[in-house]
Amino acid sequence: MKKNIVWLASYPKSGNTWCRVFLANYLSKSDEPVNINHLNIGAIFSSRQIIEDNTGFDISELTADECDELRSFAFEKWAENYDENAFVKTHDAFVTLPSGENMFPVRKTKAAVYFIRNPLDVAVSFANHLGTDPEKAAEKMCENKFCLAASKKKYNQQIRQRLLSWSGHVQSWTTQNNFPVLVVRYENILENSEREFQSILQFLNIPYNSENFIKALKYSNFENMKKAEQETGFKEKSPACKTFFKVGKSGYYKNILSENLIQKIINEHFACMKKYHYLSNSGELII
Amino acid sequence: MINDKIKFVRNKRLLASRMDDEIVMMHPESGKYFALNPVAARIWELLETPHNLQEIVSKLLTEFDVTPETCKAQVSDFLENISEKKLIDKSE
Amino acid sequence: MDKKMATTYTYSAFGINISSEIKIPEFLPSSGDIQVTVSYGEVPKKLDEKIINGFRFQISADEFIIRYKPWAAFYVCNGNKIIIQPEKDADENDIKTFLISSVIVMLLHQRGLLPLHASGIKVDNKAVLFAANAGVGKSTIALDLNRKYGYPLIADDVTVVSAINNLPVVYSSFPSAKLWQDSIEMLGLLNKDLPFIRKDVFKYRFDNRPAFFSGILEPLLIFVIENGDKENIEIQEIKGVDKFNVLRQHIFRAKMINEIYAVEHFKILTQLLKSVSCFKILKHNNSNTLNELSVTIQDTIKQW
Repeated sequence: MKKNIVWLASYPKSGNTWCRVFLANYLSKSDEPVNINHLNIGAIFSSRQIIEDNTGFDISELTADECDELRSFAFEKWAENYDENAFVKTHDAFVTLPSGENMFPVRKTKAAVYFIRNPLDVAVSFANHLGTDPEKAAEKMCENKFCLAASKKKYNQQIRQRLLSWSGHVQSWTTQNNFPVLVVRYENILENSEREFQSILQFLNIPYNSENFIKALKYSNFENMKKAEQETGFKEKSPACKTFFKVGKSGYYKNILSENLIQKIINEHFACMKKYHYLSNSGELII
Repeated sequence: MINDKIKFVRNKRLLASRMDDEIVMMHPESGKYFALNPVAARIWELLETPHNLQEIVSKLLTEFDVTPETCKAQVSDFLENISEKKLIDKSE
Repeated sequence: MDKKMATTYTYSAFGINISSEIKIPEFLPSSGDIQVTVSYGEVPKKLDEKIINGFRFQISADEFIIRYKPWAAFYVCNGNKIIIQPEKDADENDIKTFLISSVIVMLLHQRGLLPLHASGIKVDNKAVLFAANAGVGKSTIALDLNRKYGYPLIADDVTVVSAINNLPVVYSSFPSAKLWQDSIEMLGLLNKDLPFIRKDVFKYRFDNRPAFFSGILEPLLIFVIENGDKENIEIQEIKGVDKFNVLRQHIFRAKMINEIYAVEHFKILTQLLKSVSCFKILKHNNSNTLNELSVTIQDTIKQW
């Protein structure tokens, strides 16, 4: 059986899209930058259309839990359209169905790249994404039952995604052993995107081509992505926020979050922050 | 090159339907769909009865503004193309 | 399941008279000759000659099995019979919801009809259809045109087209719409205490019996509505083979049945498209355009 699904997984606002822009440009044969609104790189695991097209079911008459049961089958079938890497972006935590069965098509999975970012910066960026204040965003990052696209009000092109808490999300992906996972820190991409993207290519056994690499690096540069969004808009942006590609810096939270809120996030995610070097061994903030 | 001994006629099993000045067709066995533009649709109309290349070209020359050479070359290409796709049958 | 002395109800929907052991309040009652029976019974484990083996469903030309775990399995055959095998503790409303949407459509396919993913209204004595993908607002636009201009409704989600003596006809479906909360707000239906279509599925069922026309109509116009990102509503007539290509995308459950009924569909669809005009409407992907959309459509209808 062909194992070709590659997960690009992360909590929201952690560098997933950045990497997808890089990969799309790296794999594109054109000299022009890939349009950020047509990132022709795989799919999103919550895509209603892919699930409906590959199962034939009408999702609008199913509950969110029933929809989850269709996802594994739908993406296995969808991945058959690809010879090599079938990239799937997801913000879902790596969870199973209530029955204990897999929600993810693990038997067709090759590997996952998991993007992690300082939760203090995530809180700032996520607040912008949700069109809310950092306190509310931080609250959601502590909530085990937090879901994306859970609105009951109208039709949504995305189905509900269970995220767990920020730590829960990180653990769900990094401690599972169904397939290999490469953990990539957002801060490391900021510091040296060349090194990090190279290691992703190597991890996925994608042949290195220096010409493509230089091109992709240039087009996935933060300023370029921001400029592209100003020119054409970005369809993956949530309607609640003004711009998707914002600030992007590391440690930006210091200008925004209150001392109280910083402490609250640290308390909640202490172990995980320490493990991924956002806190020193003695518990001091590193960034 | 197609010679004038060969006559062409529509494959009778094809489903075909005029949509304004174009024609949409479906091959029932392969399930494939085909579309004919206005000129191709005119040729298709003629092929209700067997025609050879020269007969088709002569008719088209009276209806379309095109030189005999271009017309013959293009009709010939077209016939080969749709014959390969089994939209028309040949007979000697 | 115990075979009780089954009570049967008789209904009419999609131009077909149906005798059913399950109560379907959404359908209209009927007293005509029965063409289709719906009953409880045993569903075959699998089909012998399946053409498509999908996720929890199997299809051959005359047979269809689908399992909605953990509620019920359905077997549809020869275009005249539906058998339901409920699981223990299955909710009858859940079973009915699947029956009157996805399941009955397979019966329509088996009968050689063309079910389109479209809503519809009656204008004078003809049918005007609105084909669109899920979420674009098919139901909402039909209800809004009814509310504003009084056109009777003929279908909410599925419109059945057939050809009689090479002339296309449209059958009304049944007088019930499925609406999201935002449509209910837009249509001013908030004061009605509408039920959800199923428990934990946040779509409402709206009975529109008083505004419904039941019968056969000649088709007049088809509007294909799509979401875009342009500010203004754009409307454009579709001509030629494009017409066929666009409408083929809106055959109901096309993805499930693949091309099994392609020959029948080709024949009916081309008959239909020869006698109607088609317009493509691009509207902005947000809720504030309903009024403008209705006016645009009404203007086009009036000019026709």
